Amino acid sequence: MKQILLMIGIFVASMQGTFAQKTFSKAFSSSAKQKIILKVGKCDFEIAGSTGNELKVTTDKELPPPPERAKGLKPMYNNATDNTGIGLDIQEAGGVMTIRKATSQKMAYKLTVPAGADITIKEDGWDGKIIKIKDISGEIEVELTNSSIELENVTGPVVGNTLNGNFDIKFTKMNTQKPTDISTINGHIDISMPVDTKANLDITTMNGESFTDFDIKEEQEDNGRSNGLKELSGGDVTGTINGGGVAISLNSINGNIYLRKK
Amino acid sequence: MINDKIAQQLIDYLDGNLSENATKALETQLATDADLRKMLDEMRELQANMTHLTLEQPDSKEMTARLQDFIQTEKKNISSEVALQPNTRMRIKEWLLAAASVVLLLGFGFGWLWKNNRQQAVQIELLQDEMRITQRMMVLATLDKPSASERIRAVNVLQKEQADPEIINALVQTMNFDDMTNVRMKATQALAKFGNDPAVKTALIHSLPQQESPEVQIAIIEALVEIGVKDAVPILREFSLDQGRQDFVRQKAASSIQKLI
Repeated sequence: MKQILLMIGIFVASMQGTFAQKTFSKAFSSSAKQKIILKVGKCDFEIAGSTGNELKVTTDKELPPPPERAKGLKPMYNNATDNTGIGLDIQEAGGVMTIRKATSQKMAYKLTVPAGADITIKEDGWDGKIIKIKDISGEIEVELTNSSIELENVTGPVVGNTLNGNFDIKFTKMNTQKPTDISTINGHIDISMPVDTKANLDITTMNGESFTDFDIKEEQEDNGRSNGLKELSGGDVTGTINGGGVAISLNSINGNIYLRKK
Repeated sequence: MINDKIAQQLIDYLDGNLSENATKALETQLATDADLRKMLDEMRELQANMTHLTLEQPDSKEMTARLQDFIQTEKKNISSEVALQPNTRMRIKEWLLAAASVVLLLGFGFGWLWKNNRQQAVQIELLQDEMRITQRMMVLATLDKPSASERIRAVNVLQKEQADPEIINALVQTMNFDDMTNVRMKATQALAKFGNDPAVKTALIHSLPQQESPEVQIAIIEALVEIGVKDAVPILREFSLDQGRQDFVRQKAASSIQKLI
């Protein structure tokens, strides 16, 4: 009897979770070149590439109802209007989907987007969250303040910077034409990319250290501080791997840089 | 002087072929002409010798055979000499003519090729110039594209070009106004490559206090040191004392002053 009650309890709890989840979908008007622009702050994002021609956003968080005093009024946060019911203002024009936060509440969203779409993220505010992106073959541009970003199964190019966050990127293969350029002030840059990547590297750390297991010129012997990676000589490191190719520039003022073979 | 007609009469006289009247007339003349008689005696003697020679003449068939052999041998010799020499000479002449013709043709050919190649070289140079201009326009236009990666690629291309007001101006605009911090940093680093141009030094000094990104500020300070812009010392001193700026920016400015002084 106790087991039955426990199962009923679990079922009810899971149903409540399901009911709490909200989804918003919007199709792209163009399939030629799709782009998603996120101007957001105070929220976690997980973005995954998928087949299809639409943007799908889900959240488990329920927005609190507006105060009684606001009855008949519109929220004005970020000059955006919640047209999704999940605290986001989403507009689409010519294949470009622009997403803005329309609530001051801390939120968490999961986005499913076309795998080939370009993604641009500009962080508003200084709350500092984690943004995760995976399975994307389009271009990724990010300008963050305190947030960190984790990219997995991406091809690049990636151009991005953050003041206090970190960059963790796992490339499956590299875009061989368009440069990748990452910059941080206080956060680290940790990049894994295929062993056979042909690239021209420009690695700069002002107060940090840089490490790699790729064969680049100007490298020094391992000093045991970095888990088997060799320490590159301080300051600027300019060199090629596998004969050179696409430009990859990694720059950190106070953070360390790790460049790994995948 | 004895002429051929008289000599023929004397021969006919010796041979008995003269008419009776002619014989009498000749004998009358011989009686009075000593030279004519002497000549008649010589001719008679010669005729007698010839008769003797005829008797000792070898077999005519053998003579004929020998003569034919001799003729054949001589013909061969002559033909071999005569046949070779003219042919060889002709061949030499022909070769000389042919060689001269070839040299002449080659001369014309090389002349034509040189002229043609020269024209082609000029055309290729013009095309390359046009391609360079088109390529530059495309690269400069790329600086306005929405893709930050493509804008960085354009900056990477421009920094390898020769110093040029159009390129420097485009890079200065990118350093000051591009949306992405990464692109502004790249444009700043590219401008450092054109550090000999006074416009670059001025642009870097003016841009430094306008930049909000500490990363771009650091990039500009490094460019000023790389170029050796001593005029930047006052603004760097301001930066080094400005408590509102990031610590590492102030420290960077302070250390740069030491390098420039």
